Amino acid sequence: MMKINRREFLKAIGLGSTATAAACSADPISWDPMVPIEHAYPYVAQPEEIEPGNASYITSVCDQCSEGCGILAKNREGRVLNVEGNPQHPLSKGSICFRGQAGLQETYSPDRLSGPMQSGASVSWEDALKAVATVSTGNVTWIGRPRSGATGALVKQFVKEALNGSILYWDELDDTSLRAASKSVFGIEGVPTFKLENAHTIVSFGMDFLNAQGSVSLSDGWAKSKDPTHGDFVSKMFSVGPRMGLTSTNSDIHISTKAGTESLIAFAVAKKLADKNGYSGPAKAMLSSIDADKMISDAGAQSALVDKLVASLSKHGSVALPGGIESMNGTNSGALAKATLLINEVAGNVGTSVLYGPHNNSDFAASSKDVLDAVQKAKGGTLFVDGVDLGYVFSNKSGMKEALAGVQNLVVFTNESNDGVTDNALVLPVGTGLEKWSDSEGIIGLHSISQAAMKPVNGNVIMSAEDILLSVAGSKGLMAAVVEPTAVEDAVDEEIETSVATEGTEGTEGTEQPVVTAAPLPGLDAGDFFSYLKSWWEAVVYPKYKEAGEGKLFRQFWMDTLKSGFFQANVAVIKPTWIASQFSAPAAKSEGSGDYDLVLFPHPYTGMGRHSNKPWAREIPDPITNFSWGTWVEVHPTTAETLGLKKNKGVTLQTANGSINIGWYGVPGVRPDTLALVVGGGKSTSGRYAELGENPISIINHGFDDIGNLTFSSTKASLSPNEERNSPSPQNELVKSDTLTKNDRYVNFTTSMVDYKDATLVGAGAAVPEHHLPETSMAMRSRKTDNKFHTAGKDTTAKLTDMYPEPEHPTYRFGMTLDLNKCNGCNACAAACYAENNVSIVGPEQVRLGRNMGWIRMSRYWEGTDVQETGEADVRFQPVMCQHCAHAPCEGVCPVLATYHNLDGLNAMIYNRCVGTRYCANNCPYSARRFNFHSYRWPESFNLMLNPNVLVREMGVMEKCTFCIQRIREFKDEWRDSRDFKQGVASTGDYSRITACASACPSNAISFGNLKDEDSEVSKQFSDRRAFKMLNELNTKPGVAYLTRIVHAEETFMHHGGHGEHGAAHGDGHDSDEGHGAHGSDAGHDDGHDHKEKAH
Amino acid sequence: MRNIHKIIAFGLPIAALASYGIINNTVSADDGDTAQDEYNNDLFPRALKYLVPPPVPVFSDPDRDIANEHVAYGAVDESEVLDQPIAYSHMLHAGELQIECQYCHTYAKRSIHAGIPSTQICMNCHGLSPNGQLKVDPTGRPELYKLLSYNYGADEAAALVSKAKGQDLTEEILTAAVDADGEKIEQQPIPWQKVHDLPDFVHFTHKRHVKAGLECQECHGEVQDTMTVAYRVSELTMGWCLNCHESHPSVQENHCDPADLAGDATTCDEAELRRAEIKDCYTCHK
Repeated sequence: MMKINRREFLKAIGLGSTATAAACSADPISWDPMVPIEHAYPYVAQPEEIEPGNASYITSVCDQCSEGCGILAKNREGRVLNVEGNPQHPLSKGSICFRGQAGLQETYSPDRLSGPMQSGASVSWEDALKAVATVSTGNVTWIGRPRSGATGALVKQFVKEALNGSILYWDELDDTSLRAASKSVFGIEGVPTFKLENAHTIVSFGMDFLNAQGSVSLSDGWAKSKDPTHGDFVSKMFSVGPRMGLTSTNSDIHISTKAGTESLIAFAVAKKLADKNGYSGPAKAMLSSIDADKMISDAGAQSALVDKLVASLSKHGSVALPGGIESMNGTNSGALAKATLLINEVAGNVGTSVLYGPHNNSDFAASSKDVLDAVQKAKGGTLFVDGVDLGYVFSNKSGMKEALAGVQNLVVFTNESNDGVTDNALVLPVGTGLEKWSDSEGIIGLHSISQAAMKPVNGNVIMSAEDILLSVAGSKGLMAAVVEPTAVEDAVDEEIETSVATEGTEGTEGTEQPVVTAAPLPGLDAGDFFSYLKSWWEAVVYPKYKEAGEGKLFRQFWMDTLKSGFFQANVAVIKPTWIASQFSAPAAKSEGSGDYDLVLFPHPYTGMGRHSNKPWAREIPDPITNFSWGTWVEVHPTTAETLGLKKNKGVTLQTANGSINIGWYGVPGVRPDTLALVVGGGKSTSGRYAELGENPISIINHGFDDIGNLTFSSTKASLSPNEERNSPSPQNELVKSDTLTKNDRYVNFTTSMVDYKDATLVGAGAAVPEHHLPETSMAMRSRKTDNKFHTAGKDTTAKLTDMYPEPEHPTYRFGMTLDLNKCNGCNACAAACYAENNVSIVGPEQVRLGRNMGWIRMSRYWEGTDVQETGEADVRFQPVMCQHCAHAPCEGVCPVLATYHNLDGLNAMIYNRCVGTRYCANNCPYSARRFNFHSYRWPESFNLMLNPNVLVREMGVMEKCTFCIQRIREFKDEWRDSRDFKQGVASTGDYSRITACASACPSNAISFGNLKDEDSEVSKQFSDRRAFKMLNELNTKPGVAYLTRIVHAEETFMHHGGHGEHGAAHGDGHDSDEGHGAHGSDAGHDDGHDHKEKAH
Repeated sequence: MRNIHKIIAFGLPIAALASYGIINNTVSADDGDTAQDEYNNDLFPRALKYLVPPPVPVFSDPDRDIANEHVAYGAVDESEVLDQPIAYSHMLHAGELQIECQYCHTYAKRSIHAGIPSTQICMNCHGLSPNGQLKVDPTGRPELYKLLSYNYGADEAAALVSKAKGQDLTEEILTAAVDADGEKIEQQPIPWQKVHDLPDFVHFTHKRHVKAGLECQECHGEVQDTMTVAYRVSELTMGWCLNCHESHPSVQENHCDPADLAGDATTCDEAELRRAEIKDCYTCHK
């Protein structure tokens, strides 16, 4: 038979210039109605654990930050296609944050090094190892991301004990300030664990703990504190700072301060709180010299708002304060960290919601200044740089790059080049967390094990840093050096002895437990790191397990741990004593010339640039401004007006050090005297995507604060409009977000505490403030449709009429609920959706044309523009995906029936039937549909990550959320395996987190399930008092319901509607947790009328 | 489809247009703002940049002999037998030797794929026993030489077989152990050509069909009686799928068994709905 190789054919007939060949090679099948024969390659020897077509899930640890969340890597046919949270793991609890999800792209990055590089040229691993082996005793420095567990022990043995070098663990966005503060005020080295779920009041001093500096456990704790069914209270959140990030926009009250003066507010709050509570503890000495009122006025904040914060802090028993991790914005981050700990001490939180004991493990932590000094000192010796980028955050004037270039033996462990890789560097690709064995003890007592879940793709040859160290130790004969016991080893030995003693006593009790002799600590002669890891666990972790009274052999323990992914030892909470008496609150200083204070903040997804080569982190829009890909500056709208900034055009930001041309966004969260600039883009040699955007560090003066952290807010800047097109869309201002008040589209509601506590409001949707609207409004009429979820107990005289009968759902009606009270706009759902559903990356040009392909849109509504004056933040986040309407406007207009309502209640979309008329998208009131203007493709090796269960869409096809039909199929498949197909009607299995977004959501705001099953979570939430459907007045009967956010502010509806009038009568009462009681619903309606008049 | 020449006459101008646009970049981008178009194929690759029909190989390739080309779904031509790397006989193994289908196609009842057996499964019978003895004598059977070569590599296979037989078969084996391109076979996966394949937009699972009690032969033909090298006997088109999904006896049984209707628990109405469910587009389309 004849064989056709289409690529060769194209070359042969000369149709193809290179452009044609490239186009077709990226697109092997489409447009060809005849599918040519493909090959199928079976294994020679089939690995037992691989079943083609079935995924296996491997426990591992996310290595995108040093938190150490357990994850499950979904491996299909040898490649990890997705990562999810490990449901058993105490930190992740089955969820995953944005960065963890996007971390998958590190493994498949097209910019990964295929092997070791020396001075820009490839070298063999043998030569590379020889070069590393030139390391000499006493002249070694290790700078890297924090390591703990066995990997930490190995680095310590190699660098510290065998070679007498120094170790500096450092991270661009780490907790150095809080760690230093803990040491000076409590004498404890470590970052406390914050238990937000116990907190009635949460205050954040500029720390974006819900996003850039956050973690799954903080989001989860925050969500629980907001959930009245969890702890019988709804926490109240305050934020302090010059700019409103995701954390501030989710807070109830935002206290606006001048750049770098958060610490003044913190000290003032501590002082006032101590006075109010009559605090007389050990920290009292420190408070005596504080002049609270002066500090507040120095910081440019409103003392009324500070008083509210103090009142709220003093009222409730338990409070947490995740402040002070302001490693970047403060000019005095050390003082701020101390001040927040002081508030915690004064409020009595230490030991209840701020925990030491099971705190962050943090040996060898170093500040940025230490790192710079160490690099400069490392000149004649060996410098190991482990997974951090030393080039980007240190400004050009710091001398970091020159110092790096002068290091004689610079060894960089990284998978792709970064800004800190100088020409003299030996770069070793050490593999990502999914490709090598590792472990972590992020929080003391919580040992997680990170399994290798796949081999590197694309023929990349890696060797993990640990294996490199062991191999070098072997070749240098370093093993002898570590035999001498050190003080640290003594401590561990002691631990083992005690555990053996425990073992002995158990033995006398007659239990049949095998007698265990303490395993020795592994040495540098372990051979490979896997054996080292295993012996280390046997020597260190296994005794803890035995101590807890468990009796399994190590082998069984090891297998169990691999399955669960972690081992948690009991660690007692320490109640530390305050030892500091020194007080220092340096005033903010701004250098340079310019009209405005310049504040730099980390990008919500790329952080300080570590994740900026991951297209997901760049393409998914920033929740506050909707910017993708670029660098932007946030300005107050009045400032923008004063400066004459033009919509759709960019700005030039000028400091004493230079200028950059960037985009701008007018947003009321920034102080009028401040400009907020995002960090994370414009890297120079960190990969193809990281280069996009502008480098903000380049215009910043280099400096260190009181504890050696880099200062980023001590610069003045000026701003002027330019003619470049730098914005992601023609809208640089809050235009869309005013819809709630300006055009009668009531799409997002909040419920006040008053309404929430009102026992007379019963039934589905009763606490949604729609009931304050005029009777004639569409939103009001929407409550009176035949929709069964809204009829109970209501007047049904003014019905909306259905034109078509309700579709039949014999077994399933899949639905989703999104609890906006728990949603904080972090976009982890969107990232999970990109990963699961092969959503295309389109790039900045296409984004500017509005062709973002994300199936989940994070709508952000900013109610009111006077947050600077009132301090009341009413910013509402609402993830919007296809609402799977029962009466879907899109379905009727499709000329080819490519979209229809199926028996499971899904709004189905059949891609190969779609002809791309786009009528459906035009008719969708939720703008949930996305059109493929091109056949977007993935650069080589990103394509290996595509989910084979989901079609890659072509040009001319409409696409949208499918409720993860492939996961539903899998679920049904399992269900059918487990029971007789004839008998089952509706499954009662747990499918509340089937969809990728629901599975990822760090605050568990999303539930999924079967509305036909009355016991399912979604069914219960659909009839919740807070449930509302988006644009319900259109009678589309959506399968998605939202639960309103519960707010403490009185103005519950449209910011000034609802209770507006009688809210004012209550005087000071923004603090409206209690009181109020009865309010006539008639009055509410009147208010609604008033509001409408005002709005027009 | 077979009468391709007319289509070529129609297709060539389109192809020419498309190539013109791509080569000269003269076809205006639909973006509307060409000055701002920083399109970069390394960063954001697209299969096709412009909304102009691309050069479709079928239409534009006068040399391509579509009529004689095999495809893995569509109209059935039983005379089409693919040129497989090893002329494996289903008739011998499944028919004469009565080996169960799922002995080799292991995953049929556990996965979406039935699975092409790994070479190791062949070696269960054709490999060497632990003491170096041959279980099945390959002497004079070139296809078996190939199989052993795919498993061990040609040189290793020759050495092992020669040793086991006590005679030097190296030359004979090395002559036989060449692939279609005349290259010596090394230890490598066997490059089978797919006989059955479905478009990428189709979700098909063997598991549910096997578990529903379908016989392999209903779709794949009487491989044990009629086929040496397997060939396709079913169209694998949507109409062909729906034929069964509407009227296959096991669909009837699974969804509305009159025996179950004695009580009032399950009615045929409900069963009708579930029969509709298996005709739902989302059941097979992804």
